[in-house]
Amino acid sequence: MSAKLYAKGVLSRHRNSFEAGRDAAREIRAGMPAPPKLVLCYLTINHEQEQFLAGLRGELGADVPVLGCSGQGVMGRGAVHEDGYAASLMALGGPALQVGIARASEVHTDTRAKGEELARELRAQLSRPPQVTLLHYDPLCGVDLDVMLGGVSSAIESPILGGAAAHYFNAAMTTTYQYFGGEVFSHGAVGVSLAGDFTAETIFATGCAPVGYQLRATRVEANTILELDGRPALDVWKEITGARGKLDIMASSSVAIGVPVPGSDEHLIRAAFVFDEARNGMMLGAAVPQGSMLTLYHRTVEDTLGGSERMAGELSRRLAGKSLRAVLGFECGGRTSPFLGMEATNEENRVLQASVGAQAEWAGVICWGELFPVGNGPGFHNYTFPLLALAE
Amino acid sequence: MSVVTVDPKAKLLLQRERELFELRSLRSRAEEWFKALHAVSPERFDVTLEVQARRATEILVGALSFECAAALEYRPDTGEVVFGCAEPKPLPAGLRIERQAAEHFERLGGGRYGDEPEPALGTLAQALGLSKFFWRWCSSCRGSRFLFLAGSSPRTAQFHTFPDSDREHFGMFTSHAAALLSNSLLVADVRRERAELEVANRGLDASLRELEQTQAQLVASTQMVALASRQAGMAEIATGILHNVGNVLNSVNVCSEVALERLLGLPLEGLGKVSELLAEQADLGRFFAEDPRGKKALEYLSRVSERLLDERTGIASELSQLERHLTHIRAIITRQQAYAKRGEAERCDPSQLMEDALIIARNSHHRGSVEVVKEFSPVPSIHVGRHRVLQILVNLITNALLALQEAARPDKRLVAHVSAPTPGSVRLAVSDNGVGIAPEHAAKLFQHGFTTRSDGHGFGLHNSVLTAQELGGTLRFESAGRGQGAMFILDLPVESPEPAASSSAHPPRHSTPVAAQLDVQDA
Repeated sequence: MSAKLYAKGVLSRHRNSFEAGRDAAREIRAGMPAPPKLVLCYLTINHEQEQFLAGLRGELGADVPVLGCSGQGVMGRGAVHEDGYAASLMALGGPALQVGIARASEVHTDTRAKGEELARELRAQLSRPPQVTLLHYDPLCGVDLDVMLGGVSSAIESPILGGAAAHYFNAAMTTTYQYFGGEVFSHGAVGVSLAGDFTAETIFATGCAPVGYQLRATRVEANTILELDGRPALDVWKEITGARGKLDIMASSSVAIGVPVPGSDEHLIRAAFVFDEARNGMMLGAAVPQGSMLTLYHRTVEDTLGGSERMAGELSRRLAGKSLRAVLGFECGGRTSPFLGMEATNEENRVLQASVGAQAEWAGVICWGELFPVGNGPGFHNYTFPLLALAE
Repeated sequence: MSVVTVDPKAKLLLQRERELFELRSLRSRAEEWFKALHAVSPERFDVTLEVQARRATEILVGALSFECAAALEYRPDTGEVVFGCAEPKPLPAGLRIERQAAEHFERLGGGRYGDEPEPALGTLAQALGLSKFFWRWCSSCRGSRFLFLAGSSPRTAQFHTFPDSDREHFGMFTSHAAALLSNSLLVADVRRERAELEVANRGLDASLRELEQTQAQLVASTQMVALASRQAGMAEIATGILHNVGNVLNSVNVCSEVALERLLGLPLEGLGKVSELLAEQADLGRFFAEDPRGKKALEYLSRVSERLLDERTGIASELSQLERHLTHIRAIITRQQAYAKRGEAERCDPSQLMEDALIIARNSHHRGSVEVVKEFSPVPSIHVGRHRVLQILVNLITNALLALQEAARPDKRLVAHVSAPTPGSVRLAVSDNGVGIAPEHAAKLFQHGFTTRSDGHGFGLHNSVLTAQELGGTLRFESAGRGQGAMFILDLPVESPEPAASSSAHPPRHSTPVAAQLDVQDA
């Protein structure tokens, strides 16, 4: 029986951005029986983003949908790279596949409406409900992702996966990029919905454990916590973490914030990754309802790697009897180089890839916030590792 | 439940987790640097400067996340960049290091550009398209400077806030890389010098081969010269023989001619007429008694008889002399046949050798009024190649006779000396009071080809001195100068030397006999 879903993953270390894009396109064309219907593209920020896309689209043709985002790093078959010049691409095609793509700008304003519009646009391109929707966005623009997810999920009925765009892990977080066609922009979101006669399995791993320490978000504005337990949030955070001076990503990446899920004992794991010194507040990827009781988690290597192993086992079990074509990974940048280190990160991914499917195409991005459904709705998380497996 | 107090243990745990996270991050970055340090080190140290510099820049932009990196070699006095490579784009064409920047590099050795931009480096930063970068200055082994740069363009500078630990690691990494670059230069120097040595060795080998060929040619030439000398000596002896025989043949001719003339001069025609007259007479008694013709016939017959007796005596004398001359020729040939054998040492009487040489040479050249004196002392016999000694002596005697022939003095005198200067040697010397040897000729006398005679060939003395050496002896001369005569002295050992010592495979240098002669002159 001939395949109905084609996939080709490319992992590039070429330092000339245009040539890297061009060569990746050639590799894709050589590795697929028909032109791709979608190319997901993830780049490190050393690349000249526009040049890469120009090289890629120049070789593929402008009619091939291309979207993606910058990442802290990229993953592909056999390796994760967070250094220098790296690119990871996943091309999908085949008669079973329908693709809808859309983009939104300045998503920190009119967030819900833009989410709904993006979802409607995605849905309109499909003749059937999508199996899964991928979403990438700029986490540094101040968008309340819960709001945007609410808008998206109100207009499209599929699991939403993906992650926040990112850049090289550093003390300062400044700008991320989103790609749509040949366009590179910030403060936006890009989405793609996949529909068709194939299987889309989603799963994710965590790696946190509660320390039994709780505090209340007593004053919140959107996704910025201004006060904890009635005191300025940054003062409390410094006291908790022992950090001195100006707070940065180092002072938050070791601590995870558990946000309660209404009607559930579970927590959404969040990270405070932008510190607003002027307002003495800390910004999360999504809003925290004022008055929420936050549970602090700490992160351990054992929990992180153990979670990945369990995820691999569970995914393999679910895919039994199916032909795995492609896997997309969205691993949190707080897990990889700054926490596990690149050696353990690569080992984690090698084990995962070998367990899930040694023959499957593999691509992904190291991001600053992961999307994965929790309960009956979409969820935004930190320090997690969601996977999307496409099989027949 | 509301938590109003902080659990100290949980707080401590979170603080430790934060510290651990920071340490992990630092360790992770440090590990990247150390891996880079290891990666930049070649397994073999014979990589070129270009390869080594390229490797360093690739690591800086590859494994260490710098957007751009460059390695330059430049001359601080001129700012000229003599070598450079950069990643991911090549260096701008015509890049130069401004004097102010060079002085800055020289003064500080390393640093960071960007947070508070150093004006001196602004031009360089602009030329490279960098807005933030680390730099490191290092000396090279050839007097130039290495400059390493790694950083970000304005496009990515916002993403890279490399910590101070990166700066320290950059300094360590680039110092190591500079040492490797210098090592590459040294290796290149060693390679070049080795190549030069190999070329020189090949040249030396060629020279040696050429020398060997020249030496072989020289040996062959010397052997040819020796052969030619011997042949010349033999020719000289042959000439002597021919001359001797020729001289005798002259006498033979004279004798023959005299005898012939005498025979042809016999008055035989008159006898015929007398015989016819007598035959016509019936009474010979009456004819002789009465006829006047009879009386004249008797007188005629008487005179003819006397004449024939005289002629018979004369012709007999000439024939006798002719016989002696022929005997002399036979003696000369027989004597030369005795010397025809070569290379065989035999026991010889030195005085007899001198006698034989005198006989050969005497008959070769007209002695004129030369007085030959023999001063022979009792000497032991010598074991030597007879003909070779004879060849030397004939040459010396001939030269003496020629020197005397050229001399205008009336008291020409040749003295043949035979003596024993030491118990183990015999001296054979020939002296004359002829034209002598000019001082300017003394140094060249034994040299091959040197002669003062228009008909000479310059082989005689040269061959003689070589022969004397081969016989284990020496040949030298003494002369007080032009017109003062000369003495040539041949000293020979009583016993012939070992064959190896007389081998002609490596003939003595020409300077040897000259030196010997000069020693004599100096003495």
